[in-house]
Order: sequence, then C-alpha cells, then structure tokens
Amino acid sequence: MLLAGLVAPMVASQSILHLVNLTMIAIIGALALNLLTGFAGQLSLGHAAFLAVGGYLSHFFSTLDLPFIVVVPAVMVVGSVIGFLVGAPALRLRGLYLVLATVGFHYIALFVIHVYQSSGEKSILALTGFLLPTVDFGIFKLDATFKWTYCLGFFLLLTTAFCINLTRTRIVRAWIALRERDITAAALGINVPLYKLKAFVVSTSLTCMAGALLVYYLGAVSSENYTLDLAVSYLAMVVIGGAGSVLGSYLGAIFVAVMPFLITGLFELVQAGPRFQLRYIVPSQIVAFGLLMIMFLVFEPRGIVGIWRRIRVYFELWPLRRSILSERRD
Amino acid sequence: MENMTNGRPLLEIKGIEVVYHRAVTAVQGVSINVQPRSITALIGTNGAGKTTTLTAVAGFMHADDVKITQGEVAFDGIPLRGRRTDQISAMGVGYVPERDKIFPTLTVEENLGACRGRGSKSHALSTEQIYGLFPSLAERRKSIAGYLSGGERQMLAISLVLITGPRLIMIDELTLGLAPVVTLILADVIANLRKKYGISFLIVEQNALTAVDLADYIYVMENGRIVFDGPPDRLRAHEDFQEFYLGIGAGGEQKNYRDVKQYRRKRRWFG
Amino acid sequence: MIGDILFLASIYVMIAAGYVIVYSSSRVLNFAHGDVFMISAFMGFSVVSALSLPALFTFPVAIAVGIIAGFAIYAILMSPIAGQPVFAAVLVTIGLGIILRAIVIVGFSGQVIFPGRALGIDNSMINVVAGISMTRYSLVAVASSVVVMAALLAFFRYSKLGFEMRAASFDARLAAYRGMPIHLLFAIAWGIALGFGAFAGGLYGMNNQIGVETAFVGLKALVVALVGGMDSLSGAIPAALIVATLEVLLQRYVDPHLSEVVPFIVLLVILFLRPWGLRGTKEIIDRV
Repeated sequence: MLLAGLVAPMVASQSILHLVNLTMIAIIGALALNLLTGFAGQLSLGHAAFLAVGGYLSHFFSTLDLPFIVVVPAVMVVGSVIGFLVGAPALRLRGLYLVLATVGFHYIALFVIHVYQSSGEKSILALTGFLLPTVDFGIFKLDATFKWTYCLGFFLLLTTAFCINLTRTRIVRAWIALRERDITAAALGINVPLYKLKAFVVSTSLTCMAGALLVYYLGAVSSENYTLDLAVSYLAMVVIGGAGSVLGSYLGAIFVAVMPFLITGLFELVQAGPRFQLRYIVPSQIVAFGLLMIMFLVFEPRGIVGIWRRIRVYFELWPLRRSILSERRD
Repeated sequence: MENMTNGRPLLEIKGIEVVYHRAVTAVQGVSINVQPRSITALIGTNGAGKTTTLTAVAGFMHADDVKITQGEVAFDGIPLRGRRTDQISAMGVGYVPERDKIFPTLTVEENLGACRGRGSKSHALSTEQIYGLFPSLAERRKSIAGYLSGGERQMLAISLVLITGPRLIMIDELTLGLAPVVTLILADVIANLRKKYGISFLIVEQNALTAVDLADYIYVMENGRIVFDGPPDRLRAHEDFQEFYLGIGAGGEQKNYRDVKQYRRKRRWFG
Repeated sequence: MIGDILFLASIYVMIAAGYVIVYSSSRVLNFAHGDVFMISAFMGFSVVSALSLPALFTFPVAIAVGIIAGFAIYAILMSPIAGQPVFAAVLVTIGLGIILRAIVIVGFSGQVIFPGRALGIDNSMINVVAGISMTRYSLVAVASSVVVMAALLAFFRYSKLGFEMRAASFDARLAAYRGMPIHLLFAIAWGIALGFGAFAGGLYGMNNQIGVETAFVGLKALVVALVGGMDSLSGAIPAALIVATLEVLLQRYVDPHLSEVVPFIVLLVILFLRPWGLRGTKEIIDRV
C-alpha cells in the first residue's frame, strides 16, 4: 500500500493533486498553530500575518538570487527571530488580551507588507503581488504538480516527525501545564516566560516555513490573500481537529481544506442551476464553515480527536462505568 | 433513623446519589432530614461529599456537569430536584457557600441592595433588622465588601440570605478560618434566628466540637455516605467518634479507621 | 473636521459600550458585534425601503434587530458553553461573525449602499457652533450617544436591575444562589449591548456608505473599548474621542490608509503599557 501511495501522485489527476498539495501545506500550518494554541494555550489570530511574512521574506530572498534550499531555512531563521520579537512583549498578556494583541499585530504587519508591496517597483504586477521563480534544485525542477506533491510530502513528514518528537519532550509537557494553569505552572517551577517564548519561536518559524512553501508552490505572493479570516480558518482547523494533538492538526486541516469541495459537490448533487450556484456557493461554504466551527465548540470542544477519545473511554469504562470508584456494599 | 418528629420534616433528602461528569459518584444513598426550627449539623472530613450534598439541595450549575441520578429532595413536601437555583432560593432555601459568599467589589450596602427582594416578602428581614443583628456590619455599611474581615464576611453572607426571607439556611463551613470569639457570636446569632424567626439550619462543619455544641441533630459523612446520625449526646458517646474526631484512643491504642468495618476508605482516583 | 471626529467618536462609543457590557457580564469578547452593527444597518435600510416607510423607521428596525440578535446569541450560543474556557466563546462569536458577513454578501450581492441618499433624507450641513459644522444626522448621532451613555451609566449605577446585573457579572454562581435569574440577566445584557450597537449602525448608515467591510468599524470600536477599559463604560468615552481624533487627524494630514492601522497601533501600545485601559479594573480574568 505504501508503494501505491508513493506511485500514485504520478498518475493522479491535476486537480486532485493540487488539492492534496494545498492540504499538505495547510496541515503544516495547522501543526504550527496547534503547537502555539493547542499545546501551549496561547490563543493567536496572527497566523495569517506570519504566513504572509514567510511568503514575502521568501520573495525578498529570491530577489537576491538565493535558491530555494537556502531560502527556506533562511525564512525559518528569520521567522524564529520574529517569533521572538512578537512573543517577548506578549509574555505579559494572557487570554483575551493576547488574542487582541495578535489581531493588532495582524493588521500592522499587513500594513507594512502593503507598503512594501506598493513601493519599490511601480509596475502593475507589483501592485497586486510578486512572482516567484520556479524552484530549481539543479538536478531537477519542481515544475509539475506531482513533483510538488513529493516535495511537500517530504516537508510534511519532517514537520510531523518534529512535532511528534516534541510531544515526547519536557517542552510540550511544560506547554500543557502552561495552557491549563499558568500560575500553577509557575509555582511548580516551570519558567513560564521562557516556555511561552519557545512556543512562539517554534510556531512562528514553522508557520513562516509553511508560508514560504505556499508561495513557491503558487509561484506568486499577494497581500490580499492574507486576511484575518485566513487566520480564523487555521484556528478552526485546530479546534475542529483537536487542540493539543498532532493527529488533530491533520484531521482539522483536511476537514477544513476539503469541505468547500464537499459543498460544491452537494450543490451539484442537488442539481442547482449555474446562476444559483454562482451566487450561493461561496457564501454557503462560508456559512457551513462558521456553523461547523460553532457546532464543534458547543458540542465537542476537543474536536474530532475528542469525539474519538470519548468513544474510546466509553467502551473502556463500559461495564464499570459508574461504580468504578465507589464500591457498592450490596 | 431517629430524626423524626410529628409532622413532616422541612427538608427531606431521600437516598440521593450524585454523579460528576457522568463518571464520578460523589455521594451515594444519602438521606438527611431537617426538622422545622431545628439546627442540624453535617460533619465529616474533606472530600466526604458534604458540599455536594448541600449543592444537591441548593441547585447545580450547568457548567459543573453534575446530576442527581437517584433519590429525591423535597422542601416542605415540594420536590426540588431539577429546579433552577434561583427558583429554589425563592422557595426559601438559602445556601451560603464555603468560598465566594459575598460580592467583594460592591459595598456592604450594595451587596444587600442587590439581594433584596428576591425571595419571600413576608419572611424577609429588613435592613434595619439585619444591622441590628450585626452591628459591625452597620458600622461598615459603606465599606467595600472585599475588605471585610473573615468574620464580617460570614456575617454579611448570612445577611444576604436573611434579606431574602429564608426558612432554611444551609451554611457550608460555618466557622472555618474564624477566631473562636467570632464563632461564639455566630452560634449566638443562629440560635437567635431560630428562636425569633423560626429559621432552620443545616450546617456543614469541620470542627466536630462546635457542631456537637450547636446542633440538635448530627449526621456524619464519610466517602459520600452517611455513617452515623443522632443527637449530640449519642454521638459523643460513640467510641469511633471519640477516637476519630476527638482523638481519644481506647486504652492508649490509636485505632485506625481502616480497621473499622463500615468506615472502609476507598482511594479516590479523580480529583 | 471636528464634526467628523465627534461623529466617529459617537459611533465608536456606542459600539464600544456594547463590547463593555458583554465583557462585563460574560467575560467574552464578542467578535460578532461589528457584524451585528453592520447587519443592523443593512436590515434597517432594506426594511424601510421595502415597505416604503419614513426614513426614521430605520432606527427602531435596527434596534430591534440588535436586541433580538443579543437575546438569541446569548440563549442559543452562550449559555450552552458556559463553563468552557473563554476562548471557546470567543471563537463561537468569530464563527457567527463569519456567518453574518456571508448573509450580507448573499442578501445584498456584496453591494455598497448609501442608505442616507437612497432614502432621500435631508442630511445638510448645519453650523453648530462657530467653526464646527456637521451634517444633520451627525448631530443626531452625537446627541444620541450622549443620551445613551448617560442612560446606561445611570442604569448600572442606580437601578435595582443594574445592581443585579453587576452582581451577576462578578459572580454568577453566588447570584444564582441568592435568587437572581442569571440567564435572564445575561440575556438582557446582551440585548442592551447589541441593541445600542445596532442603533449606532442605523446612525452610521445615514451618514456613510455601508458594505461588508463596515464590520471593520466594529473591530476598531473594540480597540476603543479596550483603551477605555474592557469593563468600564465611562472609560469608553475618552477612549472613543482619543481614537477618533487620532484616526481623523492622521487620515487628513498624513496618509489616508493609516486610518485602517492607527487603531491597532493604539491597541498594541495600550496592551503593552496599560492593558486594563484608562478606567478598567486591573485583574485579567479568563473564565466564562
């Protein structure tokens, strides 16, 4: 089966591969956000801004004629520095104040990017975005969708391995303590500011990498794609999939990325006329997205992973469910 | 059970079982009667289920994910189970929690003003009557409640119940953290309230000696169950009570509760 | 120009009051508030133009939309998730905001509307005092905001219901034990909060164009609420004036695009220097 999976990209259709590629990038982004928000509990709406930073930094480096293999690590390094710069002042903020700060950061970062984009070259192209060169490794180029599938798959594997490894370390345990009760965590001797900072640095670095990958894959970067709603959709991936879980990041990202296509499929199933489709399809996707978010939050805040765990616990406890702790004397 | 007089008890808790998070049984098979115009005490160690029993009467908050899964609670014959907390309070059952018993950011006056009018109009005490009972509150009526001393807080907490005209007051930890002289004042006030206004009391108390001095009838709770009930004298004479709560060993040997059959203790796995 | 500042500040202060009331009672940042502001403006206009009512009916319609929205959001969305960490409630409001915006896109085909002009109101400039001139409806907005804020402040400080709402917002559990119907009190708080935000929506529509991006005004008002203190109604007044002044001045004299980003710069400055705002309480709580 693994062999089939490895070979499949070469024969699958373009559109499916494109969806798969975008989904893989989304998963990387979701993993990155899950580290910060799911594990460490630092609620952030700045994800879109960090993706944008990753994208524009890539463009900047590429204009210096640096190749892809150099750009991506460079972006990650700069990303971690930015994560540090953003995280350091954010250390004093908790909960809702932190969210607001990330919102503020989002708009300011986008403003700066907008200025960067519209200054410099005054060509029409520059006003809407920049182009990036095709990725060239020398021996081969990433000039076909399926080649990107392998490349992105590689990055995804790396990231997943990194995250899974991380969950086994003290760092993630500290983050979870942080998420639950940071006052208590401090009392237990966990250096709260240090770990908060680590969370920002690691998450931002990965996010910038995802931003770089996205931008090279699409071949262009444009500031209008990086909306606050994008940040919300990543947060939704974390919530729907399951906060604080690597599997949850996968499930959430796949769910959110695939769902618009399900809606489209639904419309076609109902055989809605083309004009009806045109007018209602995008808003329906949006409404469905919002509704899903709300429903998960109300009914299963721990996401799909939470549902899975609930089922498991139910069956584990089943015969003993209620008297497990108090022995019935009769 | 001996706690019967002529007529119906004011509060009847009949064989209740309370489960948290659909998995943890906190209280099992608990029955408690509070007679009209009586002072009933509920004693036991930490985690025995006393607070859960009181909140089972006073009403649960949805967020706590806790339910009465068996048994009934009746106040003056009227079933309480499943009613909203504020409805139960309006019926004349006042609950003073162990912590968070006053509104610390409002003044004493504002505290009383906020709670006034939400209960029985006929039984309610007026502000003057309350200030008469608790002169120190009268002096500090414009102070922010958060700055009151422990004893004054407890007095204010009781006042907030009195202003809604209760017929039963349930107090969780009457004297915890309070100086002995304050304890005496409170005991006095309670006796007074019973005599003058006919209010009954169900008091959870960690200090067994205080309970035994104050109450007409006592229930002892362990591990979510009632293990003993009776008037104070019978309790005082009970050798297990003497050993465990008073620390008096029989013949110098410290009897371990684990050895006593019906008090077998189970370790709790969930917080 | 002072007229513009005062108008903007009035709109901000009424929306900000909504954020403050909701935050004080439920400890939630209602990210859907700006979207309710926007949709009330649209609904006010469309009902009035569909039924050919006099223009002034925009306001009752908008207010009604706001009040109903407030009650509904609390009853349907907020009370089931009580007890969950606060960010769940915040995310729910974000999700709701997304849905509201989609509804506006569908309902109005993403158009931009000038309700004031479309309804043919008389919005001529009036000379209020020497040197200050503003449109007729700007003046109405300013006057309304003064009345509204005074009424709200008096309500919370002196009325029995206001007491109870304050008590319930400090400690809902204790309030319930003391006989207060907390869910009703919170629903009323949300109704009031969104009702006034919606009123501001109606006023805004009379003077400006409205579109899907109008919700952004609501987001900037969130900054105003924070600067004043998330739990302080009175703080919203100076905060609104400060933010509105900065925005208008920088927009006029430096760069028009800055109006989008200035409130957020102020936001970050306040968060890092004085997170509790001008007149808020110092503790940072995060429970629902």
